Amino acid sequence: MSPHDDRLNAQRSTLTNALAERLAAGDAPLAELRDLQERIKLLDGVIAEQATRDQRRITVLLWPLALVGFVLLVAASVPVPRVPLSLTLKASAVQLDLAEATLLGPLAVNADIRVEGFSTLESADPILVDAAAREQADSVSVQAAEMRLRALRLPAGASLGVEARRDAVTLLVESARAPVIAELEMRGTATLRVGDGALHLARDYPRSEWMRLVAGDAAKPAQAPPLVSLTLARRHGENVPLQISALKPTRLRFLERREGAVGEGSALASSLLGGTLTLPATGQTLALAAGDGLALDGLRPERFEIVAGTPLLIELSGSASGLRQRVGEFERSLKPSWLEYVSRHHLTQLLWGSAAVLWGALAWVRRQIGVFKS
Amino acid sequence: MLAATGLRLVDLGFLGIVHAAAASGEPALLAPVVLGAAGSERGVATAVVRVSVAVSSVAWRSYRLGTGGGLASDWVTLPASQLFAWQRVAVTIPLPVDGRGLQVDVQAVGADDGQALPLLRFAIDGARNVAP
Repeated sequence: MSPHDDRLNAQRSTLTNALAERLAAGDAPLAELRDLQERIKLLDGVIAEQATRDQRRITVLLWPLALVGFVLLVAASVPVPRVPLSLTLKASAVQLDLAEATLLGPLAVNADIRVEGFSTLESADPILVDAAAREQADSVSVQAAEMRLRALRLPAGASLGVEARRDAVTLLVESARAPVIAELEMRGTATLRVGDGALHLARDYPRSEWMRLVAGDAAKPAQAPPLVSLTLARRHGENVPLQISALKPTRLRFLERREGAVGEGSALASSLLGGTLTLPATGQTLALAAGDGLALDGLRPERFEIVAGTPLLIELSGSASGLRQRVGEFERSLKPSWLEYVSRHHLTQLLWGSAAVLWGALAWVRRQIGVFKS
Repeated sequence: MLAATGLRLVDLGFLGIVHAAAASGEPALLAPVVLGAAGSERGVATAVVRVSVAVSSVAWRSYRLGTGGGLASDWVTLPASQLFAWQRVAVTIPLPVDGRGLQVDVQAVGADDGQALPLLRFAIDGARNVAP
């Protein structure tokens, strides 16, 4: 409250007291009393107007502070749209969403292969083709001296699951579009089991032989093929991991189905066994513990590699639009806010910018005070 | 560039060209094939292929398009097919007299480890396979 206001209030108090005394005396002329009352009314009007002006002045002075506060709040609350990351982890299973049509292979596979879920078997070996047609086979198991997964062709939008068990690695393909195609090559003495029959075919391929397994109908791409699984069973005493690279997943999940107690059925659980997540945007390095949940969305990988041994070793660097960690029931986004990002990467600009904004705000306040004083 | 794909040279096998989309929509790997070159024998196609690693032998076989390989010929091992990496070799393929096309498989065995390279598979469209 200004000295001017104090004087007005004191004046009003004096007039009020005078009016009360004159009224109490009982002999004051009516004109004098009316005069005192009129003066008090005038003072009330001026004091009320002054109070309104003070209120308005406080509001105007708070504007720049409120604006700075709002900008800071937004910058601290809104996450950056994409976060660069580097991830190294171990897991027993991973699910990849592949937005684009993908070709996996060729991969030398030191394992026996079982493929399930196909509808057509093609090969240059007529005995295999005849056996598949006779058995109406949707599965085949191959043991051969040399095996190669020549290609696994996935249509756009397919989901690829990679699961590591002690004795095998399984690739699971789920796709809404057809066809899903697996091409195998084998060489040497081979034993094949086509379909679920007991018939085992013993073949000898001194050169190489190919087999093309097609799930779904290429002429009807909108018709979803059945789930296709490729199980690569390690041979006794051999543990050469399968190296899967050059994939471009857009989404990663680390989940596996675990059997519960008798009668409880199965439940999805985290397949993470541990790892390290580095976020260069904030300089954070997070240790991921076994059982933690991790979900990555909107991925743009620059490098992505799975070494499919036991367990899976996964290395990823790139950026993601969604990154969430779950520990128990607590889930949080690991994307930094704009304020964190700017304070980490543009500290000098942030300090200069803040100084400029504060200088502007103070200048505004001083100017407003000057206006009110005048 | 190869390192970025995660492939080794031995996984590459043969040098091929992704030339055109096949009817099924998937890319077809085509070897550089010379058909009926000047001065050559008529009814014969010559495929010139390169191997990505040193090989001890190269062999090929052919079968009719669309038969699913039911009538595949025996493998023919090329003479003098011990090759250095990226060395080229010509495969002379007799074409069917009825003008229909052929599917050809080319196989090579690595000189270092004795393991087979990935098969090179390509198709030669015959005059009677091509729609007018």
